Amino acid sequence: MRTRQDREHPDDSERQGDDDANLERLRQQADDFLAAGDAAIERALSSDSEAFLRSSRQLGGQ
Amino acid sequence: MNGHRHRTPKICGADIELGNFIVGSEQGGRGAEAASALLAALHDQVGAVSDWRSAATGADGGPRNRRDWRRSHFPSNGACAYIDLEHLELCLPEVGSAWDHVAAWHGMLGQVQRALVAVNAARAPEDRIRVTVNNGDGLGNSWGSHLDFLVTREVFDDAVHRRPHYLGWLAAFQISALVYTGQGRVGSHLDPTVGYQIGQRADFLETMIAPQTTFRRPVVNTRDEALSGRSALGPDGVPLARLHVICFDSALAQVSCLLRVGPMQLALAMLEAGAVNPERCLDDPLGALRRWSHDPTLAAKATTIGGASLSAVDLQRRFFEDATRFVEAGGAEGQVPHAERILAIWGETLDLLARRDWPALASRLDWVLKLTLLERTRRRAGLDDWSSPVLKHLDHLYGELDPETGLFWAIAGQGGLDRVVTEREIEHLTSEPPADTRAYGRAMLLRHVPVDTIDSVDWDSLRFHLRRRHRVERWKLDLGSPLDLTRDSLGGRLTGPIDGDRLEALLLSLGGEPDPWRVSSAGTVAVRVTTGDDPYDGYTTTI
Repeated sequence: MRTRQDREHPDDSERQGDDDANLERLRQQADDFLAAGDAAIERALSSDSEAFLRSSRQLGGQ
Repeated sequence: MNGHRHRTPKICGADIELGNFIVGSEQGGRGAEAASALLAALHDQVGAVSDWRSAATGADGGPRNRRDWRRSHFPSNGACAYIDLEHLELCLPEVGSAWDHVAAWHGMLGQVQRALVAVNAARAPEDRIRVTVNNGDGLGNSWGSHLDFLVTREVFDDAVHRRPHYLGWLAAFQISALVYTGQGRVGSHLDPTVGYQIGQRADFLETMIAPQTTFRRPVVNTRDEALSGRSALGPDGVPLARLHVICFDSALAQVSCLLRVGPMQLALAMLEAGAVNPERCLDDPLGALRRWSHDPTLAAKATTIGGASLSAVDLQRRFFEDATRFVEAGGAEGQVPHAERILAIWGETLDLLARRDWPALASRLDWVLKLTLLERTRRRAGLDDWSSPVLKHLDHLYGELDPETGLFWAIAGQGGLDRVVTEREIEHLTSEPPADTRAYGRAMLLRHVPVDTIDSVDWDSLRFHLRRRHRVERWKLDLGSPLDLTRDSLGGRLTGPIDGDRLEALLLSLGGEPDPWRVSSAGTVAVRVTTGDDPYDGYTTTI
C-alpha cells in the first residue's frame, strides 16, 4: 500500500510482499463491492475538482 | 487498583458539526447561508421548539453570536440542532447504549438528508447546498465530532486535575483508538509527503489537555459545562460531570460509529474503578498520534513510558485485554450496557487490523473503505500523485450527505457494509427518544406542554411560565442528572395536553421549582413566596 508521495515507511520493507498480496486481494474484491460508487466517482472525475475544492472552504469550527 | 467510591452509567451524548457550503461560491464564505437554509428545512420537516433567546439577531440582521445560533429542540426524539460558527450542529439525544448512539446518529443524518434534498429541490443547480459528514475542508479548517460521557465528578477531577497517569492513560487510549475511529483523509497540512492518513482530526490536535475546542485543540478536553450541571447529582446523590471527547472523527460506517462509543464507555468505567495501568501511557502522545495517523499501513511504532515500542493496534490490543479482564470480573455491570458485545466487536476489529485484512475492514471502518475507493480510482484513472485535486474531491464526496453524490451512501445502499443496527431501530430513534435517559422526559414535555408555555430549553433545565389571572409564574425544572426523567421513572404522567394546574402539579412532582426572580412578560417580577420546605406551600405575587 503506497500512501506517501516519495518514500516508504522505514519499517515497511519486509512487509512489502504481504502488503502487495493484500492490496491485490483488496482490489479484486473492491471491483465488485465498490462498483456502486462508480457513478459518483465518474461524475467527480469529469467535473472541475479544483473549483469544487475552492468552494468547499469553510470557517473552522470546534 | 485504586478505585473510586462511586460509579455511574456511562450515558453518552454527542455534538457533531457538519460541513456545509454552496457550490459555485468559490471564495467560500457562504457557509452561514447554507447552514441557515438547511436548519430551516430541518425545522419544516421535523418540527422544533426553539429557544429564541439565542436566536436574537444583531444590528445587521445576522446572528448576534456566531456560536450557538438558532438552537432548537426536537420533540420527536429529544435531539437538538443549531448553527455554530457557520456549521449545522447536531446534538444527539443522550443514550445509555452504544447501539442506540449508532441508531440515533443515523436517524439524525437521515433527517438532515431529507431536509437537504428538499431544500435543494427549490434551488438552481449552480446554487446547490452541499453537506459533508467529515471534519475538515482540506484547506486548513477543521470542525468537530464530539462525544459527551457521563462520569462521576470524582473521576473527572482525577483525570484532568489530580492524577497525571489517569490523563496519560486516557490520552493513550483515545489516540490509539484512531485505528477504528478514523474516517481517513487525503494529505496532511503538516507533512507534504503524506498521501493518505487515518485520521481527519489528528493533525489538528496540538496539545495534551486544554479547555478550548476551536484552536490549539487538545487530546483531552477539560471543558466542564452542562451535559450534567456543575452541581448535578445522580440518583444516589453522587456528584456527576460531563467528559467532552473532541478528538475522534465523524463516523459513517456503523461499526466505526459503535466503536467510537462502546470501548470509550468501558475505558471510563475502568478509570472509575481505578483499573489504570500506567504502563499503557505514551512517552510522546502527540508524536504517536501523528506517526500512527500518517501511516495507514499500520506499521508505525511509538514508545510507551515503560519503553515498549508498539503500533497503535498493539497498544489497543493491550487496552482490550485489560478491558476484557475488567468486564469478566463484573466491573462494567450497571455502567456499560452490552459490555460483552462491545468486547466482541472491538476484539474482532483489532484482529482484522492486526492481519491487515483490508477487504473485511472496508466493510466496517470508514478510513479503510475510503482508502479502498481511492486506491481503486487511482488505479483506474492513473492518478499516481496523491496531491491530485480529484483525490481530495473524492475525499469530500465520501462523506457527502446527498444520496446521489455521496460515496458512502452509494456503497451502503448496496447492502455490503457491516451493520450493527437495523433500519427499524434507526427509524425508532428518528421519531422517538431513548427511553433510559432524560432525553425521554425532555421530548415528552416538549410534546405535551403548549409551546407558548415554554420559556427555554437546555440540556440541564427546562423553564416554563404559567399564566394566572393577574400574574405570570415562572418555573424551572432541573434536569441536571441525565439519569432522571426516564420512561420508567415517569410512568404514564406525560400524556395528553399538559398546561395550567396540571403542569404545575406535574412540575412539583418532578422536583420543579418556582423561579422567583425572573421577569414576567408583562414587565413585572413574579415572586414565589414559600412558607415552608414545600415550594407549593406558599403564594406568588408580583412586584
